[in-house]
Amino acid sequence: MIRGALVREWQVLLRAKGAVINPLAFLLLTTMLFVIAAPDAITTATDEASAVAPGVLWTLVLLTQLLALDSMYRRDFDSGVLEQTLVSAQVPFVTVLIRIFMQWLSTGFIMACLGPVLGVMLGLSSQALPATALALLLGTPALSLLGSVGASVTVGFNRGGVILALLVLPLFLPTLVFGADMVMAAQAGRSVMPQVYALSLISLVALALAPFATLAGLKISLEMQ
Amino acid sequence: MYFDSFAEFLLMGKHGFYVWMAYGITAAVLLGSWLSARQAFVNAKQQIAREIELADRSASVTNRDREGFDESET
Amino acid sequence: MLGASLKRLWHKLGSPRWFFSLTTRWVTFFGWSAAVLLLWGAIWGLAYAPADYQQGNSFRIMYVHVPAAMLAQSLYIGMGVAGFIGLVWRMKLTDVAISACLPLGMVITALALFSGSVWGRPTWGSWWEWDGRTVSTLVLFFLYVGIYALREAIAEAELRARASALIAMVGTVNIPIIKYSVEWWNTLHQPASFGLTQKPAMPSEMWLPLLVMVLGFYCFAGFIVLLRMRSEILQREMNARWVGDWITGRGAP
Repeated sequence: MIRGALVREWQVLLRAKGAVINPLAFLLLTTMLFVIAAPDAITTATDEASAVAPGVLWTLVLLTQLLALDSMYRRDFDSGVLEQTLVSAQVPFVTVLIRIFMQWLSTGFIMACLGPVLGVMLGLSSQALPATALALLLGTPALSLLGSVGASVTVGFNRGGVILALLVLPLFLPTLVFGADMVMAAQAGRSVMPQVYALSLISLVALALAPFATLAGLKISLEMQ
Repeated sequence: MYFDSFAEFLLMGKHGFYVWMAYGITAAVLLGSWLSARQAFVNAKQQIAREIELADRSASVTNRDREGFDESET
Repeated sequence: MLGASLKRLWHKLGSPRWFFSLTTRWVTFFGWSAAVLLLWGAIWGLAYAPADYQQGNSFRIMYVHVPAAMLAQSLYIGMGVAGFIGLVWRMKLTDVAISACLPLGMVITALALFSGSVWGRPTWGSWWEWDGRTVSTLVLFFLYVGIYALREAIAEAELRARASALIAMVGTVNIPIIKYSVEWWNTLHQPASFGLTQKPAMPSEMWLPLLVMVLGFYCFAGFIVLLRMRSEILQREMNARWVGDWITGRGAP
């Protein structure tokens, strides 16, 4: 059953390539915008590291995630597929979990892989790049999980984007704090272990709570139709 | 009393502006909350009272029709 | 036997009518208690408490700022608890409670932010400092606004109740996590800001008025929340017979 659901979700992903590419294009675009807008804040000289780069990178990652969340359930919600899937699923919890996993795979995971590249563009020192990738890898699951809760409640709204942001950004805050700090610590040569623990803990707590909350939210939204 | 005179009390050792501003805003907020909540309660009561009156009036009209009065309502 | 009567009490709590009759006297009690406590605490804190050694008289703002900040958080947690009870036991009164706590909570959070800013200006020189507490309180304000926006967006009562309950619960769980992560952020990136908690223990002449003010604020919150809940119950139960009887004076609920 799990394999079937995974295969199905993978096929959906392959067909809806735009949903994957658009947020990443947004991330790249906004990174470029920042570099153009504040060139003095970014120094690519090798001996100086940019102080704002960690925070800027993480902020742009958060905003990209927000953008990607909007379409997480919407298409299936509008077409009726979501209702069918939840009704016919043997264990709806697993279905939701797989959907969130796929969302992370198509957004957060790729951002974690691209993170170092964008970091270099923003002037991060090279010693911080592995930590950047790890931070994003550990933190983006929380973003997908917590974001899924907000997306599930607002999927039926006409202009849900703003309310989604309002609901979800406070939830993202802890990940932002520790994620940005991890990159800064790596740049300064400090140990990143505390942040690793913190980010992992946050993602695990999100893993424990978010699927249930998402299911509840989806049920509410489906009844609103 | 901590202060020696009322003037000193008002001045608060040159912090008076800030202290009284903070207490003033607080008083305004608390007062406003109370008035707003009270108004909501009064509105609810008035609205229901009006509904009851309307219901009574239409019920009495129906009763009169049933009992066959010729008098008009005016 | 205690268990059975507690269970009966719990079920009665789900009845709007019973709640309305129970709280008739509570509202008056909380209202008067709040008035007395707030007046007493304010006069005590303003005129009789000694000035702070470092801050001078501006520290008296603490007597309104700290209770407001405490209440702001308590009201949100109250909404979260109400939401949890509402979702698990399907009690409709919990949504009435959430709708009653929301406007007061937002306004009190804003008050905490303003009073903190006014306190900061003469004491530490600036109207606004990004430290652990300001960021946490600001995030709390956004948590309130989120629920407000959510309620505005959902027209159907039952669904609005469940969505608010869910988001209030999620937000409540998030509050300690946010506080911890913001404190972490603060200790690393901001110069240590003077807080009363960092000084040696406050003498009782200083914190007793604070206790009175905190009690006063909480009684005030009880007063306002119960009053708003009663208004909401009247609205929702508009067509019930007991409401009509109570309004026209034919009988108590």
